[in-house]
Amino acid sequence: MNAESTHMHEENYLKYQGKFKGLLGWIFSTDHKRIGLLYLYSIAAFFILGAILGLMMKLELIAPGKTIMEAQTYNGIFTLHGITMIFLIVIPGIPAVFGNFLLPIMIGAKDVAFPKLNLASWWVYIFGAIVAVSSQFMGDGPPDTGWTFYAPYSFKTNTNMLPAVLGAFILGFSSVLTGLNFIVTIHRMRAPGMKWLKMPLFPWALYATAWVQLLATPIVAITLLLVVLERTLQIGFFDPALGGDPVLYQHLFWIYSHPAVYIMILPAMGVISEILPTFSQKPIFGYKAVVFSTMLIAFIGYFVWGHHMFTSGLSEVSLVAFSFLTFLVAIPSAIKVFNWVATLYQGSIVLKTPLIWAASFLVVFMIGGLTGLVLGSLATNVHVHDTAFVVAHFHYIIFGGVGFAFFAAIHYWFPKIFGRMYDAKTANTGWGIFFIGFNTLYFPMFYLGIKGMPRRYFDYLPEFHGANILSTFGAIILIIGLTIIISNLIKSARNGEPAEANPWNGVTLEWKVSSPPSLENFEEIPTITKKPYDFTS
Amino acid sequence: MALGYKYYIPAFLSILLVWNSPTIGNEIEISEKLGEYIPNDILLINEQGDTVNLLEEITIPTVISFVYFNCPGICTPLLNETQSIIEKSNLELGTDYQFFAISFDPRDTPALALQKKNNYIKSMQKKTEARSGWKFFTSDSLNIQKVTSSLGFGFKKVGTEYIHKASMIFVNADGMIIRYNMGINLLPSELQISVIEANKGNTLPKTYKNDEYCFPYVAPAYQRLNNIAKAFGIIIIASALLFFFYLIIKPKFSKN
Repeated sequence: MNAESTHMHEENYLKYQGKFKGLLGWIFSTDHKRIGLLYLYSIAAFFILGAILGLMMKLELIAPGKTIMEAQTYNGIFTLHGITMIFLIVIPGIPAVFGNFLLPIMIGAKDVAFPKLNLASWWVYIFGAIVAVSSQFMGDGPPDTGWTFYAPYSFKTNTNMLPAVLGAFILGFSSVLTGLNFIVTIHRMRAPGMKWLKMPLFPWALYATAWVQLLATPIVAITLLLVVLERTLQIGFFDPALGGDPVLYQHLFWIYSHPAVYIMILPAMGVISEILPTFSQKPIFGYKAVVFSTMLIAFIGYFVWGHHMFTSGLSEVSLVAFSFLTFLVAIPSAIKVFNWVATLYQGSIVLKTPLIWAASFLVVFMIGGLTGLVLGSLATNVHVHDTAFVVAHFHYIIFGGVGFAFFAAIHYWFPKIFGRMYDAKTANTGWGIFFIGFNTLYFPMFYLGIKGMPRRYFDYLPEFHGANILSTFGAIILIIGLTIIISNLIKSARNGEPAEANPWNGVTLEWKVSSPPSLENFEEIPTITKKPYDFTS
Repeated sequence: MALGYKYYIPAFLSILLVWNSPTIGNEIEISEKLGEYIPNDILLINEQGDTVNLLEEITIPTVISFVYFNCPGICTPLLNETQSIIEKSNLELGTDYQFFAISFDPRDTPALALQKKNNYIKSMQKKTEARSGWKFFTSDSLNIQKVTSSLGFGFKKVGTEYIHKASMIFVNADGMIIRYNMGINLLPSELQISVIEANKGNTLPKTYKNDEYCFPYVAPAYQRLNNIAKAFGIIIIASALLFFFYLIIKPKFSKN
């Protein structure tokens, strides 16, 4: 990209003093970079909560029978783990943190289209999060339905369902507002000369994601509202006793929640598409194919929800149709993977921490993706439905996909965001331990699932003991790795070596501005003449 | 005084609540016709594809069940129960009594009937007895109408499926209706008593296990919610399209 190099005279965004000082200067800032960091800190806090809950579940499962908690506590914990991880971390995740921080810079804009709305999204997010988490501590005990709030149990259980459901409802608004903001920003605020097909792939991924956020989220919002009305006003929607249909709930829930998987994974794929060219020092292979597959995933993703309901009694025709569509969505995902691998081929590979994360993303994402075919296929699905196999697949995709990409992203853009370098050796050690822990934790669950261990039970048959010990052991390793990674980042953000503007020799616009960027990113808006990922200069 | 906003949603939902609530009339009831005879003009098609007269097929006490072979609901449990009664009973099927499974779906074919029957026989001890004494019939809509109304069996087509109840209807060797067993469960002793009474020409009061229905569950809320979903779906997609075209058509914001 032939952007004019802009030399910053302004103060960087971290030091800038606006109307408010200190904490207020952050929580009332409309600067997209500060909002990105607000999300980062809140998400990190919730992630630690979610990870601790996950560890507690694994500790409970270290031996058959009651180990450290009662069955009901376990039900409450896996529900809160799910709600926290999905609604508070993975769904907002990459778009809220890196999208907010980098989207305007990568397309050559000074901020997002609606900065105040952007700040409002964060506040709505915090409000929703407080409501959702409060369900654990108030009323009649933590909800125990799992993160899917399946009817009719979700309005029969005496636990504290309403705050959890309302919390998810409120969080939906945050998602919609962010999506809206990004769509307008991308349409309206690209730098002169940045045609659609000159836009980098991370903004493309955010664009596709934003449409999914905008269109799919209202459906789950309305559905959750109906659950609230059913519980409070006794209007029958999903409860057969009131003339409702519980299967309908599943339809409405998954019409949103499957596209939501793409809200999670598309930005992750965008991150990988940024990192691989930089660390291979060559353009991404098949730029247009990657763009096309991004949009295709977002589109087909709307039509596959039925594969979550293969055992719910759908008609045969629907089952076959949903299974077929599910296989169809694997095609654009595979296009991406092939393009990524082809990008690495014959590249001048620089094996730095972000690339290590991105490469291991490919490995775990492939395992997750291929086991997804087992679940997408009708006949095999019936056997492993609701077993530990599903949990393993899900975590390989969501934690392995989104989680690894998130860590890849933070290690890639860390110098830009904080203006400091992290300790690469510690970061790599952390990655190694994390990677081993991750696979030791989740891989045995494929085996357990195939052998028939159901998910969401605090207890299991003695024959499953061995693999469960291994899995819990993996969880402990994973937490150790996580601690190393996070503490290294916190330490480096404070005391790391000052970073150059372009430590990785990247070519997208964010590497043309100083680290950390100035308040308005660019002194002068750059004019784009070249394609993205053009390393010939 | 104007109503507050808080009443709008419940009011809106109550309108949707009464909108389109489906009614299931008494057309699916089973009306007892004890003591009446099966008319002799009912033609059915047996598993071999031959057209037979129902009355002529009834030469010994007979238990008739109405099912259809692509039924997603209660018909299979009913046939499973029939299979288990045949196995448990001391009576000899085909000699002392017989079972008829008559399809009330004109789309069912003799081939399908045969396939269904063979499927059951495969897992049975009393294979030979069942082959001759448990008969599967199909028919055209006219004869289905005749046989179901003569036995008092009601059903209603909804979409591609049927709403109906499960029952076993006993007739004696002369074709007189002597007993209705509602639901899918029947004890071997009840079968025995019914056969004995059938031979004597007596009618018996109906036995009630359960009123067991088979119906594609189209909950009232389904239609109600469908309306909501359709309305919101159209609104969401229309606004998204408008928004998209607005972004495309209107000139870009000024850069400053």
